[in-house]
Amino acid sequence: MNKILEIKNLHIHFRHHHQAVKALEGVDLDIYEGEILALVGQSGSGKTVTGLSITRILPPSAEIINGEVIFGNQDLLKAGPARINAIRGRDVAYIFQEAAASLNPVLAIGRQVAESIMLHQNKTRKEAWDLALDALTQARLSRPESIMRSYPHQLSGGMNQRVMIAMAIAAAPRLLIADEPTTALDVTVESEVIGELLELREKFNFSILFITHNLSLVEKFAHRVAIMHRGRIVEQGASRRIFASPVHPHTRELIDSIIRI
Amino acid sequence: MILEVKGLKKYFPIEQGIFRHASGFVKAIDGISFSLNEKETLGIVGESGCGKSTLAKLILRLLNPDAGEVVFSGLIRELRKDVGIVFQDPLLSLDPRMRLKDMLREPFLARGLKRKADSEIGSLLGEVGLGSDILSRHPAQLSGGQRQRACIARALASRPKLLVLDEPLSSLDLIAQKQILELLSGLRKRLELTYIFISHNIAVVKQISTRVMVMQSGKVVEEGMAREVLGEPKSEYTKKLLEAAK
Ligand SMILES: Nc1ncnc2c1ncn2[C@@H]1O[C@H](COP(=O)(O)OP(=O)(O)OP(=O)(O)O)[C@@H](O)[C@H]1O
Ligand SMILES: Nc1ncnc2c1ncn2[C@@H]1O[C@H](COP(=O)(O)OP(=O)(O)OP(=O)(O)O)[C@@H](O)[C@H]1O
Ligand SMILES: [Mg+2]
Ligand SMILES: [Mg+2]
Repeated sequence: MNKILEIKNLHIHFRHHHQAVKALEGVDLDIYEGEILALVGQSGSGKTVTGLSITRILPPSAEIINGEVIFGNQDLLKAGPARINAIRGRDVAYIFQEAAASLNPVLAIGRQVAESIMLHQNKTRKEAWDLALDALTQARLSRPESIMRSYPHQLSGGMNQRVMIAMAIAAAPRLLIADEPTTALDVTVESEVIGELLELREKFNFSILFITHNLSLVEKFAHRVAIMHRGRIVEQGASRRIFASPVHPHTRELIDSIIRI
Repeated sequence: MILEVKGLKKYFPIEQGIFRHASGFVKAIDGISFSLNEKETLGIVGESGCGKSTLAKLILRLLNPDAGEVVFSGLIRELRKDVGIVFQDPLLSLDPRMRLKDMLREPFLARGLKRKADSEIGSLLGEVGLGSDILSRHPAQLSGGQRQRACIARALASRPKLLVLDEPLSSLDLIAQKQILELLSGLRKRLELTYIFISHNIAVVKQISTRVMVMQSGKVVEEGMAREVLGEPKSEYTKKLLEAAK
């Protein structure tokens, strides 16, 4: 299988009052074409920063100390703003961790989804609107027409999350970075939405970097798992192997912590 | 008794067409009644969009009901002081311009504990699993789960009698989830707290709740002792919900 993305020895620090918060301390991670790679680890271990660093969606206080992010024969950390903008949202799409906060509060949902389609694909306003409506339906939102006219604050937590998922579905990217994409969904809707994403992945053969705390989803859907701890990947391997025989003590601790009914 | 909810309704108009006339309503809360005793933990479950967060906001009087009422009694003298909330979306519920330090100090100052504030904040942070290095940061400078724990710490700092928690563990790893659950049960016993705990994670609800309420489309489907509702559910809907969660 081909690698679609290679993260090599990535170090990212945040400057904060003359000190450095060392978020990433040498991350090495490969993502293969068409695979679902789960990235798990304790809160604060660096998962979101890893995902965002791929297309450099980082605040000004972030410093890339070292490392490479190779995507399509190019180091994205060195790519110019035009190139990065072309990749962001088109080739590499995101479902952000806090959906409600990452949607634009003053734009109706329909416009937001349609405009993101028009930005990256060659579609007319009318075509984009229809595609947006389809995407909302695919993301299991009931009453999609009225949701197109709603604003984020008029939707529930899980509905906003499904709007984000719809935007990712409409983008049909090469790499989808899904950061805790279903935390506000009940199990039934969750498995339907994930099923929809998997079907699309089959059809378009994109890869998914699936960042999550939900280990039962990982067990069900991920091909491979990478465990993150304090800014480093401490263990990675086939999903079945990680759950059956974890090697790193931190991986064991995570797996042992599964709360069962 | 600490809380009584009577015949509560909240309908939101659905706007349609270029003139944006109301063409119908989302019946977010459609006739809900229940009461809550001191030291109970009421778990609320139900599918996404069934009205859980709307109910929480109605209880806090952040929304006005279209019908019915919310009545506090017993320990609750002042809504603003005695009833706390942890909102579903941490980033939206925190002031982006405020440092964590000032945010957490506020409730202590309001309680007249200026001198003890810093040491109290330190131990509170430890209890939710955060280091004091985050105190000089703004909300956007934390990870998702750190932000969620900061919200929990802030709510606890004001020592509410009733605390409404809306999906408070959704961004946390299992180790941190366990830590927060233990903290909440400890506080319930020590400080006689009452909780309303909203979550779609049935395992977690089962662990923390004394009573459980199952909601569907703005209505209560089933309500009772946690053991009974989750152990021997009466309604088909609850059975379906539990089956899916296995
Ligand atoms: N803007 C920032 N300034 C300073 N530190 C930051 C900033 N953003 C993130 N951090 C820190 O970097 C570390 C990694 O954060 P990240 O958001 O990647 O964690 P995470 O693994 O996604 O955690 P969670 O599961 O809680 O979402 C954390 O310790 C966090 O506090
Ligand atoms: N301010 C508002 N204006 C219009 N409709 C609203 C508003 N707030 C909520 N609604 C609608 O009320 C319904 C219930 O929303 P609510 O946020 O209470 O659901 P929830 O049970 O918390 O869902 P989730 O589990 O996804 O967070 C939804 O259909 C939502 O779109
Ligand atoms: Mg994160
Ligand atoms: Mg909600």
